[in-house]
Amino acid sequence: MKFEVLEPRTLDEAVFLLSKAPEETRVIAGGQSLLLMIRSGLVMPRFLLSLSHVKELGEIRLTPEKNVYIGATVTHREVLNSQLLSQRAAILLQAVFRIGSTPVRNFGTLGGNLCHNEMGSDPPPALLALNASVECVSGRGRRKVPLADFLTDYFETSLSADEILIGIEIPSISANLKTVYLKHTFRSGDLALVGVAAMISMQDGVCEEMRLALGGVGPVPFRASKAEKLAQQKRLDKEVIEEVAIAAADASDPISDAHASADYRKKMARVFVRRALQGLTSAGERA
Amino acid sequence: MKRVIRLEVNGDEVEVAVEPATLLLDVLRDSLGLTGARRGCETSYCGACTVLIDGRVAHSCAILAVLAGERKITTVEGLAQDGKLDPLQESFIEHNGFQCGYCTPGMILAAKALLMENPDVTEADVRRGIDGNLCRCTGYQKIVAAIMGGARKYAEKRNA
Repeated sequence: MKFEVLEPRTLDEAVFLLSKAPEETRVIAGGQSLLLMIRSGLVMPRFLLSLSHVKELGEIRLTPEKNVYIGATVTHREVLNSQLLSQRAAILLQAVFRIGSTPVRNFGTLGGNLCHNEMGSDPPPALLALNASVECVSGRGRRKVPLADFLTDYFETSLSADEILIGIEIPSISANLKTVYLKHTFRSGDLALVGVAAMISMQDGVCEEMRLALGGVGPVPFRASKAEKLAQQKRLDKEVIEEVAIAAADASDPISDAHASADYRKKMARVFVRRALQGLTSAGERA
Repeated sequence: MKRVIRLEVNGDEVEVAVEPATLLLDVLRDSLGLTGARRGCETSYCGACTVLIDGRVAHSCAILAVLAGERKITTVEGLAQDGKLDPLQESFIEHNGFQCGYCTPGMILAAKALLMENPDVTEADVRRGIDGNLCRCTGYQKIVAAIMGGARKYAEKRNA
């Protein structure tokens, strides 16, 4: 394990340093995933470009359009403590609450989590349900990418070697949307075998809008669009919920590994979508 | 190439020359002789290497020393004051909150960070607070009891 650590003070400097050797440089924020990748020999960078001192990336703020913007080096802990996010993106807090363990949440960052794109990670399904996008910057300029296009394959993203993810933007949502994130895992510190982010708004007893995103059950977390449409303008009774859950599980494409078989993961996708929707609708009736 | 970093460890300012790839854990154990932070899984899972950075629980096997520069590090060696154990440490002894002891420094530091932030903990808070620390001997019951006992000791001290 041999590399040099670069510590720019500004974003411009960071972009410049990265442009000098993009293929040999890895950007590091909290390092909670990247260091493990390096130490196991899966990544062997010559330079580590630390974003820790780039102050402007550490903020959570409202944009002029009233979207929430989360800087790339904001830690999971800071997400959990953010009043702004708890009001405007509660489902993200529900998901971040389930990440790894306290030390990982203390130092790991949301930006790093997305760039790592590990299967079964908790924030991506929540952020997909929130229609989040990410902002990336390089010497060639800035671009905003919907998160769904950013996450491309196991451990792969559409980030170019010379680009830095600088923030995550979350559009504001209707106050009528009830949200939940459910995670299925055997031990609390593990990645999700299945992670389900669900959002529902009801009007006069029928479903006005449903957003459903799944993680851990395919190469990338995804929105179950077909399943979402099945709920449109319907009463969410037992039969409809089961139909939606089956459609969501059908859209999954899980792997088999030491933790669970593909069959089991698919089955659990159905079970956890059902539980999420049952939870949201019965809460609605009580309210 | 080695780089000199400055750390505050258990209240003392120290300067150490480290390779960029050196882990905080290695600096503490090998350069400073503080072996309270243990080498365990070295994949940020087991928590044997737990230290506090600016009062927050960290796995020192997942932190590069050069990126911890200028920060306050607390290891288990830094808890006792004037030769007197921290109330949490006393509580671990009273409750037999360990068997082999390998996880103990990490457990105590995780509990310390938790109680500093939230003095009125419930048992559920405690169990979540040590979610980054594995014990393979005790089944956690006595550890949780020891931390709850430590919380009571802190409360008595505050109200004294």
